Amino acid sequence: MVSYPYFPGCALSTKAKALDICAREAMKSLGYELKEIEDWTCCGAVFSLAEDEHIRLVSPARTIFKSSKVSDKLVTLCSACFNVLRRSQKVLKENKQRRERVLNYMDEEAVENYPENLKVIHLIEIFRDEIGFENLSKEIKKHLNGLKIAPFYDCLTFRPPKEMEFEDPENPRIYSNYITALGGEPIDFPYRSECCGAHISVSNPEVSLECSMRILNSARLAGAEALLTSCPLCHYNLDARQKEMAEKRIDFKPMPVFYLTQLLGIALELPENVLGFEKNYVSPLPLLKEKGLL
Amino acid sequence: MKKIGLFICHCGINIAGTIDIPEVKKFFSEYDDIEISDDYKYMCSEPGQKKLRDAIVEKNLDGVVVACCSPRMHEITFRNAALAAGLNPYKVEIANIREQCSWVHQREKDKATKKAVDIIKTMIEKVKKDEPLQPIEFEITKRALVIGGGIAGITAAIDVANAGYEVILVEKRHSIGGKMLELSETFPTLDCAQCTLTPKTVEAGRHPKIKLMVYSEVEEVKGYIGNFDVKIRKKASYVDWNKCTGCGLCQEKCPTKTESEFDHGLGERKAIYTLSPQAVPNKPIIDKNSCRYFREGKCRVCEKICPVQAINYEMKDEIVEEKVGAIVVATGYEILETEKIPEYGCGMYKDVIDGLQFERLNSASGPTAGEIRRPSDGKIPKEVVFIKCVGSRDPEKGIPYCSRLCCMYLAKHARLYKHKVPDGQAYLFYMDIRSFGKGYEEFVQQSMEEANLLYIRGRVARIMQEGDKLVVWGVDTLSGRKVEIKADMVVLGTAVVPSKGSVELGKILRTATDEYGFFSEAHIKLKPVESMTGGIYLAGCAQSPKDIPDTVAQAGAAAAKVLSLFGQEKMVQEPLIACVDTDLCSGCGVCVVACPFDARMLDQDERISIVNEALCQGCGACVSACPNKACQLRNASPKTYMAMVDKYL
Amino acid sequence: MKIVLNKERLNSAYVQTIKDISLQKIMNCYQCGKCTAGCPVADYMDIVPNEMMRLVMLGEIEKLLSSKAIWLCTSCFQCGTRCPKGIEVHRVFEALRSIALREGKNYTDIEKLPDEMLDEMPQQAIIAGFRKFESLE
Repeated sequence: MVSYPYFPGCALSTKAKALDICAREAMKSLGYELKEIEDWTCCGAVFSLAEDEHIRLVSPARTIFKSSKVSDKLVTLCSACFNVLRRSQKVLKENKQRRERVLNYMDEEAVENYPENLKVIHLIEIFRDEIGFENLSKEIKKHLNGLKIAPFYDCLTFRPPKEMEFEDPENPRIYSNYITALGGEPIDFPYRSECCGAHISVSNPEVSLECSMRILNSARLAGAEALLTSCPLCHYNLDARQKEMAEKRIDFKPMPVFYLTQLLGIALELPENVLGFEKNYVSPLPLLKEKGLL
Repeated sequence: MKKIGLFICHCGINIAGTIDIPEVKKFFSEYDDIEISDDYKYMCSEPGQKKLRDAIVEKNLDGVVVACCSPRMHEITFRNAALAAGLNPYKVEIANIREQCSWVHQREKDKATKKAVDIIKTMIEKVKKDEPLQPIEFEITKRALVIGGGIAGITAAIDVANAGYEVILVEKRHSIGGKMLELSETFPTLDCAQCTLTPKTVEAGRHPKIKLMVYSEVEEVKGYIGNFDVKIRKKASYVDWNKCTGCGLCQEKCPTKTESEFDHGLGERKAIYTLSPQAVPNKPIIDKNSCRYFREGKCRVCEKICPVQAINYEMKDEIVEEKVGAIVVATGYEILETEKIPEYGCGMYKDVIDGLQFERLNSASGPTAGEIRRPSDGKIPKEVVFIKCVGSRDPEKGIPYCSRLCCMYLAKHARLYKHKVPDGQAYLFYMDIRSFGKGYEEFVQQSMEEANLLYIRGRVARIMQEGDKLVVWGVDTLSGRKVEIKADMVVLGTAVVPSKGSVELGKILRTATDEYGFFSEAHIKLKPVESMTGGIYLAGCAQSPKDIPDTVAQAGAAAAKVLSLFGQEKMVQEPLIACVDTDLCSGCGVCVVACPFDARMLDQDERISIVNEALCQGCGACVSACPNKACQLRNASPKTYMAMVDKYL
Repeated sequence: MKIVLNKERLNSAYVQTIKDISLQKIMNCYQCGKCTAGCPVADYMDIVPNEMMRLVMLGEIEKLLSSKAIWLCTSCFQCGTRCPKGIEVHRVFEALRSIALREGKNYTDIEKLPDEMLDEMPQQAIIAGFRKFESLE
């Protein structure tokens, strides 16, 4: 059993707890233990874009230092946490001045030498780099029967490309490869990497509603039966707000939105109560039953 | 006792404003070995040079020091003046008291004056030690090699051949004509490209002094200016061109079809094919990769059907060796593939095409016989978007330069589109409109006015395929609004980049290419057609992106340089090169390895090192490498420099 | 309305602050507009991203601080990703928001949102809202 330190983040620990449990169970059956870091603090939800806001680096630094004592990898599943932690690690690694200031706030977490080798990774990188998508395909028990899933390449996982150093946001492949490995059919659609509206739902909800609606319309026009995402906020905007979309447009057709690990859970035949479908506003159960996957 | 003349230039106030010239002049008038110490406002002017010449004759000077600006400016001027007066030019030295003294010490006049005196003292020492050298002469092979058979190469070849010298014209493809052969109409006159080109290609093909070598590539170049030894690989065409009559039966009957490179993937060709209907020479080649015989051992239809039995599957590549005196590089350009632009579909959208593909669509000999049709379904597009600056002016994509052609050719494309589809609408996204040439601005304005083109100032962020339409997300910065167009076809003005293989060819020729792969010119303003290597000249887009008028002009200039080389009886080389003290040389051979110009060899019989005086550029690498100090630079030996340093100290 | 330009205006305290907070070379912008073309919410903005860059170059900061546009930005980073000059446009907007917030103004009072909304939304949205829209005062 390979064990990695794991940062679940606020959403996955509370409102989206089911997704966290689903992820851990799925990884366990693949031979990986996601060990939650002790006494972690919220990453901050957004990476501060102001050069002089050093305090924002303190919580990520604390998390990184704690993880480095146990492993050279830190795994996270939430796109926002991934964005904040990965970029923080890059800044702390390369900018000595900011690092010195942040170190002033470290107590028992402080480490002798800065953990330059620690890599903050997204769960999907384990599938790509360690297990390999081909092997993943062999490990799963139930193939998804060509379920047409449109992968939504969220902003925070891929951008800015120079800081995230992940895939080219103009030509991303990783979620499509993941879907193919699980036996689904990835549907490429024009709005695949356009923002869902994010936190504007708090201040200008009409604007973010439009952004999310465009994404769902575009996916449906391209022939998708469901959407896939890895960000709890995108999931909220694209799933829970379908209620408002239906009120706004009579001809609006609902589409289920899967979280990354829910698909894996189906493919690994995890018990239904672990998959967390009750948290989805648009229930994917009818679609899954229709495809013979449940 | 030497008789040296010192001439101090004021250079207006450039030197005189900082250095106390009367004091310097007075100091040296009582200095050892100085016969005359004089000054003048502008030594490089006619009266200044006359002073120098007169003094040499009257005072019988045996050395001259001119204290003035950098030797890069006027060393040649003063050396020629000395030569005219009968003094060996290599006994003239420049004391740089401007760039290295007055210009950098403008606020410390006393110290600057003292420094000027020191500089002049050291140069006087050098002149005393200088040998009166003679320039070196050697023979020139008066034949030229032109690499590249596009309009640049053809123009240069014809110009040199018309002067009576033999020219070898080497072309990678199996017909000359280059990119111009692929175009339909050219700006600003909308002349048919083939009509302007074919008289030239025909002339090059039948010119008695031009040896045409198509389907060939230069593989090795040794030697130096006036004396190059070149190896050219003639690729196997599998067709005996001496027998072939160009009847075209083989091409007609060949059963294999494959994607045509000439049509940039929009059309098809056979496995045995001529490049185009106007090809010169009009002979086919067999493409091994698609031919059924080479792949599976079957077919052989062309062999059976050829009325003169010209097909020969056993043909091999041939290496041809030639001796030439000058080389013109005219290898042209490519345009960036659409696959390199991820935000515009990464080459996956069939209806997003580049400029050369549009030319093929518009061309009467193209895949659609000149009708503008969508590559995906053959329908006629009614809404077409043209995008400029795709890849160009984009430091993030590694191409910060402007490709120079796109503003004009996209305006041309939009206008040609409207000629063929009068009820269509054309949109052009631009950042600037660079219509700099003769008749260009009028052409652009006329396009806007007559063809109802909508020029939108802004770039396009993304193109997406939605059903059978292409959704273009752009912006109009002039009105501050995002713009969305559902287009039927998009034409991208992608960046102009050097031809594939330019960097490798640069290594073969031992001439520099810049960071983008274009061949480097010796001086961007004053020597635009000369490469960094003597005897190798540049023409056309191989040096930097340019349009046809500028290409033809540059090719003519390159030809003129070749002719001015060939017009000399013998080649004259500066003698400031390496030499060997044979008493000290042990024949170790370190200098041979150290030389970057292949100018050193070991004489096998005498076991000492010799210098190839034509190739040596006087860089000094061998001097530092030689463990015995047997290798020296003429008029720049350590003894000379030590004497100069001693004088200063 | 005309803008009067002089070197004090182009190097005002506001402009300097924006340069310090964002660390971007504002003058590199050649107004190609790709940022606007790719912005998901530019349709709703009163001043679009390339105009905002232009106004910063011209020193017209007050107009930007009172615009709706800086608050509509979703921080999706498309603008900075696409800029051909490598300018991180998203950092310039963050700098504008930071200036406004540091002067003590709130854009939205998160606490005043309806309870069901706060219950349903993932914490990410609420914390981001606090960070982007509320002053620390």
